[in-house]
Amino acid sequence: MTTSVDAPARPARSARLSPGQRSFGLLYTASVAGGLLVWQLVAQGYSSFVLAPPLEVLQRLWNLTASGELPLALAGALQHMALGYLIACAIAIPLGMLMGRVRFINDLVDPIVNLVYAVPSVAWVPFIMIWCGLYFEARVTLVVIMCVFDMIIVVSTGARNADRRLLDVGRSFGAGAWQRMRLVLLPESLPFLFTALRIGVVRAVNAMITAELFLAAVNLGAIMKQAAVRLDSAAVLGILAVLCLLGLALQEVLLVIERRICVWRPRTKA
Amino acid sequence: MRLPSRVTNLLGIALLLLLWQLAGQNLGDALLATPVEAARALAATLQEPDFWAALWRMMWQMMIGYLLALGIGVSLGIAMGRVPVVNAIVKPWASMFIVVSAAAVVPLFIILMGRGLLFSTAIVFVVTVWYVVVSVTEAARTVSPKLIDVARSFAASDVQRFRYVILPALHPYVLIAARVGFVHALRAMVTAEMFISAGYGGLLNNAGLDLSTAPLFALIVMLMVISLSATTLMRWAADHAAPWYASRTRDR
Repeated sequence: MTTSVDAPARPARSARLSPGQRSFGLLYTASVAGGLLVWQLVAQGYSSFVLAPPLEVLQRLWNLTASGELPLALAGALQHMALGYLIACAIAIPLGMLMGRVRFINDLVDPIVNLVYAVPSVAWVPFIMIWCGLYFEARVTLVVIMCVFDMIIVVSTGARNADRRLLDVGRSFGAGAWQRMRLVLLPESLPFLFTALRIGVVRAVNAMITAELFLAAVNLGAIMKQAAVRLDSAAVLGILAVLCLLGLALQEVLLVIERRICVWRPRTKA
Repeated sequence: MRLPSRVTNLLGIALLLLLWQLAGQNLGDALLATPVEAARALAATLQEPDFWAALWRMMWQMMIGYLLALGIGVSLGIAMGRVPVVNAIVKPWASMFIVVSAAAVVPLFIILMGRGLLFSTAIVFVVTVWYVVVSVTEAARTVSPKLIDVARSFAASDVQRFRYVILPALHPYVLIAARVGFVHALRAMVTAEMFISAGYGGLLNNAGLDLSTAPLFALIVMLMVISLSATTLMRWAADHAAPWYASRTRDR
């Protein structure tokens, strides 16, 4: 089957910092700088209503930060994002593990997960409005819906592919079910659990802004919507940059934690 | 072993439908229409010309963005996977854009391009292309060096190695990228249309204002059908068009 390839499209990210590639650090920076320069040049050809140059965006961001508007909005946005993400983890990790390890549960739940996953999450928004209104609960619900299925799929695929031989070794050394779980399955699962967490956190950032734009416009979504109405493209681009950096930073944090915890991983991976 | 798992699959769906039916009967169709009502609404929706017009409009606009993303994404992905310099240049942008969601770029694109065809196509493209790029890059990077070495020792030129070794080796992964991309393209398209309340997204928004949730479910089920049939079709194509995937050693 080719299904399992969906998920591992990403995890090789940790391999990116292999020693051979370190010399490209300069090129990375040059590429980003070059991109910004092109943006600046292109933006000069347009009115700043349509496409603001990077410097103006930076200035606008600074204004927003100095006025306290942006930090407040970000803090508000992080609340429902974090709560939704935690709920999604609490559902996805146990359910995914069960689906991966218990055939019956997998057969029972897998078609449902696939069916619901196939629907673009935004399509649930009208439904969420009916059930949870427009405010905090609704935003959390949307974050949960957007995160949970991606994570379930990664976790269950990972748990299913757990190396049988490792579990068998544990069994032949007389490890009980609990010991096998804690000493074999858990370490074996950590890498894909982290992959799931990483994919989930990016989805959570996406869901957070989707919720703020599609339900009642608050926090970052409100800033973005108002700026769009006023044709203030600098603010729109600024928020976009903040979201992008937020996603990247959270991903990076999880990567660092993963490298700290899974110290044995590079050895076995090669 | 095969039959029981099918039966359990059906059992799971049947249980869900049963629960849904019971919950729907208790809550009333303003909160949760029962599956029977949803099916009835689906039948009614399928007879509306408006629905087909909206669906058609959504699909062709999405397909333009999607096919563009696929074409550019696959070539860029192969280049990134095989040429480290290209990878170093594009990678920061790829990882930056891939974390940005469709919803977040919608306000910007409205300012840039209005609300027409260009808008939806561009959103689908921007959201989809990076997923295609990332999965093709991974695949291109991990093309087995053994295969390439064999070709090299038989004195295959660069072009030949590309045409006869790398491309066939990538074939299944391109189809996988196409599948992943399709899911994201549909997500992006629905997001864009719901934001500007046009076409199918507009229908979804209007259905949300309805007194009954049955028409809403009908629209959601249609999205499910589209997405599942497209991905199933591509999975089938991947399994049948790439027989060398199973046994990589067998040459074309």
